[in-house]
Amino acid sequence: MRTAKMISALVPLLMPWAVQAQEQPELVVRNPHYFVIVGDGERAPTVSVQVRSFFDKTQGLKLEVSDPAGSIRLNTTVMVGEQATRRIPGEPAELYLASANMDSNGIVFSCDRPWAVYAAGRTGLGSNGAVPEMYLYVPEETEAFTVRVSAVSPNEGGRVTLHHPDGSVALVMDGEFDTEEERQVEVPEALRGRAWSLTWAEPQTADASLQDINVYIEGPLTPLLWIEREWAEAHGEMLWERHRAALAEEGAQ
Amino acid sequence: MRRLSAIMALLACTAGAWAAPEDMVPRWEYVPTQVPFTHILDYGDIFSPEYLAGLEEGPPHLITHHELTVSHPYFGPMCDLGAIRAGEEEASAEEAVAAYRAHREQVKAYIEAAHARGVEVVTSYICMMTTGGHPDRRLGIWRFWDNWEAFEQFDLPAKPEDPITWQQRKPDGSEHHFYRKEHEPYAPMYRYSNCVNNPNFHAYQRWVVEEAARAGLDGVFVDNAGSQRCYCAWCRDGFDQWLRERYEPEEIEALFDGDTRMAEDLTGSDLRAAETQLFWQESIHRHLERIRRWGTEIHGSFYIYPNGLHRRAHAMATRFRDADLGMAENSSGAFGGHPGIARRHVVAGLYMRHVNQNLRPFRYAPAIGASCRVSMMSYSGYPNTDEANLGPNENVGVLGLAEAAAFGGGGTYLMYRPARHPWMAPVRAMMNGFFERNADLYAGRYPWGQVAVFTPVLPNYFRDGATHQLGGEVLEMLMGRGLLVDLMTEQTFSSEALDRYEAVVAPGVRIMSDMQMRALIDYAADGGQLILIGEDTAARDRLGRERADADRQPLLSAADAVLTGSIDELGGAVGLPDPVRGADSGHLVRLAAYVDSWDGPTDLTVHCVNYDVEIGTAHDGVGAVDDLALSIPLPPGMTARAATLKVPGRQDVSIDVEMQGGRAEVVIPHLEIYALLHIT
Repeated sequence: MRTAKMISALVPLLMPWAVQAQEQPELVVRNPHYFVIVGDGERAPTVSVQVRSFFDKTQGLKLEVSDPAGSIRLNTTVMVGEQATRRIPGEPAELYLASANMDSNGIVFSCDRPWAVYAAGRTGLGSNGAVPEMYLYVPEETEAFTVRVSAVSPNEGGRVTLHHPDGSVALVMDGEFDTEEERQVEVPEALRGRAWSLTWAEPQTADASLQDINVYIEGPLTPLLWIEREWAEAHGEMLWERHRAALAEEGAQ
Repeated sequence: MRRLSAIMALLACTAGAWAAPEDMVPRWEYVPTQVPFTHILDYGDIFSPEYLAGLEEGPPHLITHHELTVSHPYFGPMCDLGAIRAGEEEASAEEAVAAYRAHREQVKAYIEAAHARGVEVVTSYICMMTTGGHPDRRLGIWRFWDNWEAFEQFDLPAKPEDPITWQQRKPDGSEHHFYRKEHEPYAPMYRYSNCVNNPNFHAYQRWVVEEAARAGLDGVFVDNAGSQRCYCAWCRDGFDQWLRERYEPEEIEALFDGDTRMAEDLTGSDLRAAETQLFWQESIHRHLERIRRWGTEIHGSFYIYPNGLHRRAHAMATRFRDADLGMAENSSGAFGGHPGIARRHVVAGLYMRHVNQNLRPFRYAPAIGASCRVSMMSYSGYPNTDEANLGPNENVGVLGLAEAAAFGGGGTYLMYRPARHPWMAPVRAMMNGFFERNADLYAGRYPWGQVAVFTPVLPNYFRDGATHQLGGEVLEMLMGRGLLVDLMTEQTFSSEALDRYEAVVAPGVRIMSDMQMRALIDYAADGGQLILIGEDTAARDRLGRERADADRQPLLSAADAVLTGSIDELGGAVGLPDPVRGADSGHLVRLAAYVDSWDGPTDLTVHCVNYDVEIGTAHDGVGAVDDLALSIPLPPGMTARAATLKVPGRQDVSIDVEMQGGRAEVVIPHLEIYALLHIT
């Protein structure tokens, strides 16, 4: 019954978007996260994940990608230390939701279509180490929103800076964040409907290092952080309209 | 290929005969499946006539309360936390004794009444390790200890040493606390974690258990039955003895440098750390058996129901192996733990539709083959609950019990706070009747799968969770494809057992004994389909030592495939047996099969469970499946002559069965949630 023995290995694929990402630090997220992928409805996106171990944890990544109807299109487990690249099966969709659960381990996520990471819920954006500049679409109707930061591990913290669309500083939160801190951000009318950004750096007011830090975005906006400004600007409003409608529907229920 | 074997010789070892390091975790004679049952756990007000009346419809086989523990399990029988917090004086010793006596009578009356209404097993709460009090203010357990003599009329043993000496200790001798010492529900008192190896703590807990038995309780629910991490003198001495019983002197010299101290650093994956963990597992096991013995001496028998299977179902192979039931307190996850389909909005109108299935913990029970089965206690989301969307409903209740029956080889789905859920009583009534009517098709049976997933429990104690995690993922994926899949642990692993399977998957098994490696090589050489996940398979031996690549190469070469990266390659390039269920319909139907004997089976039961059930008190949808075609591989030599379809709440019906290439072909006309197919 036996055919030839086979050893299969995933060959790391050098994708154009992976090369682009070299200009910025890669985004390593720890603990479960969601990602939103914007499809074009014509060609199925391809996602790539690398699974990083922390503190010798052996938990692999359980990756599920579903379409707007909630149907799971891709469901796999990637072992720790490994990388996997997969085209999302089925008819191309306009949007996808990817759920990445690796417990306290970390992953690097990328995709050949615009994507954003969900920065709310239990972990917000829970990053490890240096973080690339991330972009937040602030809708036309958003008068204010909230930024929360926590970094519960001792001697870990960061300096999180929120920038206006023109690059000027809107808010700086610096410290060890053993106790969560929260700031309200007023949005000038002229700066609504545009992409703001967040940067991460070593803390200047605490003897700590930029390691594990959680940033939460809350308020009347879509809590998604994009890795490219253009993506936030191009898709932010569409996603906000969907998000607003979904929240209204939930509220009605 | 499926060669039936008369005796699993390797399973003949008894639990007490594992001094040889070959068996790093215990083995025993396989315990086949049991009859599943219904279960209520309720910590509410149970002493009203209305509550007892509520048990008359669908009386649970097992009921667990908190209020039936005669003494408060944490604080002892003299504590009034409300008075302490209000700054008021607590009752006098005489008043406390009178209140205790009255409560004792109330408990006895309740137990009698519950039994009279058909409840078979009545249990109450104790905690394996917790007491509470304030040693300086002499509150809680210390107030009781100070007034020990006042309770001597209730068969108290000789007064043990001060409760502060019962505590678990860190390596530096300071107190070790699970949760926090300043645990808010205990304030202004403290929470303490006692050591299960401490004879002074035994004296107190023995009295608590004996009082439970004297009151008429049939057993106890033992909470926190994994929380042992102690370096007290009793543990240090016990560990020394533990190692000396398991290893020859020269092995202790070679493997432990002659040093029999416990590992203080548990972050490593070395043999000393693993043995320390295994010692604590065995300490808990012995303590649970101690509790059983204390209760049995008074009650005649005593039911042991520990909590601690959540994410650690493999504990059924170690600390819980002789328990009657273990709780998996499924409290994690944004989708909750109730079985079925959970749908939750994440962002921008995008929903995650999640199939909650408890296949992993349940499948471990027949894989391990201990007396212990799984009680699944599901939460409606955690830490935030959402009853409307993640809570249980009638269909979920049926599905929960079906999971236990189909995949657990017994066990139960725990019904919590039945007064809030009127549907629970009729569901219990229906399932009680179904289980009773078909008891002979549930009890004494053996798993019959196409694929075995080898998930040894030992790596967990080396802090290598990859096998457990990947094994669970593989199990879910293959069962999702309509295959009959069994887990296999050290307890069921043997050459004879391997030969029953068309394919064997070893997922991330880095720690593997020489015997296991040899058996897998032989299995592949005999024509079995062997799939390894991870190129580092068998990289370490059973003692955690690195194995030379040359020594494990024969295993990698023997395998049909060695997968790396991700598990979705299974079933792609790697061939697997033809599934029982086709891909056309019933994609949320999961299946399990059992035979009456591994040695010359004469009949087969196939359990069909449909997870297309909406979770939430606001929902009640079921995606029933029509004309579900099944192609069921039969044991060699068996021919299907008849098939009977059994569905809870319905009359049994005969259905057509045809033989085709050693498979029984049947069509189930309509499947809502659960059906049991009996093929003879």
